[in-house]
Amino acid sequence: MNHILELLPVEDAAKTSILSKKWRYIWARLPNLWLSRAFWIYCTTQQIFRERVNTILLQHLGDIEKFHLVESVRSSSYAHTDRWLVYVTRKGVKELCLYMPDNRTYKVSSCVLNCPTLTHLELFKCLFKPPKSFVAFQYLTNLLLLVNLALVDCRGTQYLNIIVSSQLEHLLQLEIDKELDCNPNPKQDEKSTLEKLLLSIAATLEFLQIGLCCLKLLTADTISKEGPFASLQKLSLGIDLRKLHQTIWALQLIKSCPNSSILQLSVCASGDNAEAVLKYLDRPITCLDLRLNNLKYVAINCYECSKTELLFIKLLFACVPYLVRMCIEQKKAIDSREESKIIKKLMCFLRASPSIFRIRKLRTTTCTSYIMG
Amino acid sequence: MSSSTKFLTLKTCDDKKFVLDEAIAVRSQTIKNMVEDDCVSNVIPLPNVDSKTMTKVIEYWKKHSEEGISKDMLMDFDKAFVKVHHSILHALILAANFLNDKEMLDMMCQEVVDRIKGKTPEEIRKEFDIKNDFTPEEEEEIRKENAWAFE
Repeated sequence: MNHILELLPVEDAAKTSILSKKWRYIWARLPNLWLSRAFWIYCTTQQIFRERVNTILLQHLGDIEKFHLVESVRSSSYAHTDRWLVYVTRKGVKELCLYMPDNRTYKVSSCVLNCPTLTHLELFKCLFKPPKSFVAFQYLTNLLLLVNLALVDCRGTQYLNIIVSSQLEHLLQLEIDKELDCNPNPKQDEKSTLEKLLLSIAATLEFLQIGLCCLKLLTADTISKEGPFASLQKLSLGIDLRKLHQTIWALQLIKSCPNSSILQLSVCASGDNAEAVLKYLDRPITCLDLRLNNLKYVAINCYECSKTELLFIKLLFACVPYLVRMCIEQKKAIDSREESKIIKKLMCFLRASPSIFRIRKLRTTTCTSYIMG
Repeated sequence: MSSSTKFLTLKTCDDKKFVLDEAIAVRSQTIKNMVEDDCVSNVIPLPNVDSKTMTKVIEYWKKHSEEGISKDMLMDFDKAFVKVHHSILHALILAANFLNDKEMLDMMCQEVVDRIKGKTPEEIRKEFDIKNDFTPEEEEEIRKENAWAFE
């Protein structure tokens, strides 16, 4: 029953309370509240939106296990959001997802970072300004249950500090990403905190996603050669193949996840001016001298299948003996001549690999995919 | 294909027996767990499912296990399959839940959702034979409480 009501739009679910006495409180007792974008659109103004969320929360009975909230309009004050968060964190919330309109204005309320029941936290475009260090210390014990953490487009370097110091033993999934126009000259402390963070959770992490801007902060020597990400199953990276140090680091990271079975790459490398990278990638023995025996699925998103990108793909082919499927998505529209050129090149790589593959082409409105498997 | 096709016997709450290919029956996670744990001696009792419902479930399983069936054909089948009286739908949801067949459960729940979505309370009551046991005053009060949803 709950499952059915949760699939309904909130307003339809709320209406069921009038059906009969049996139905009266079923909606109010729903443990999961999804106030998604659809709900937001249904409210015509910000004022109405706030009133409705207030009404919904005030009527709610029992625990709230999952709370998803989308705020789509920038506002001068988020006192209302803070009030809602205080409310749900006291109702035993386990999964919290917060989508904010832009990353300069909303500072994450300390009640979230302090919530003892939280196991899954997703924050989009939030600002971190933690309290003084000694107060932050108190979070250490509180966020211990956190299993799944996603921080996308969040600002404030200190947020990483909080995570590092909280010793998240149960953390299995981590996703960090930032906006592209973030700080062009990252501060030294931002860099070292990210490195510390990765090393502190390396042994247990099962899923890791690092966006382009965060990868920029790291260097190859961060990751030792022993393969510290022993439990990692799925790795997702954004790489800029025009930058040598980033390419090296990405390869190093791929190498240090020996048990990973899924690899996703978002590559940006328009133009073929990356001489240094090309030169580096052309010596496969030096840059990826390892067999990734567990890797089975590879997905690559790229812009135009440039020379560098293709070389990177070739390199991957050479060291993945048990590949089941590789899917390459190409965003830029190209003509059929260029397309057949790419396919021809891919065929050459395929011949070098021990397994037999077929190439299938799939065209959608936004991209062309080449599926090999 | 495995060389020996194994058959399982399922017994519903009204004591009807169904003999079914194991490969099909394991669409039910519940049955699959029993088979894997070697709890299957000869007959698997299904105390929460009656024979009428089980016949429908098996019809669904067999269709979805057919080899070489196209996606469009399956979609047409599913569409027709869920067009039943709400009492049968209810029984099927309970059965899918007990048998732990997520695919089937999701499909049935979605059908219920589609039958509720965008309708007035009166229409929903009619659709599911729900008796309105509120006094007009009570109903007015609840309507006020959730005034935003009724706008």
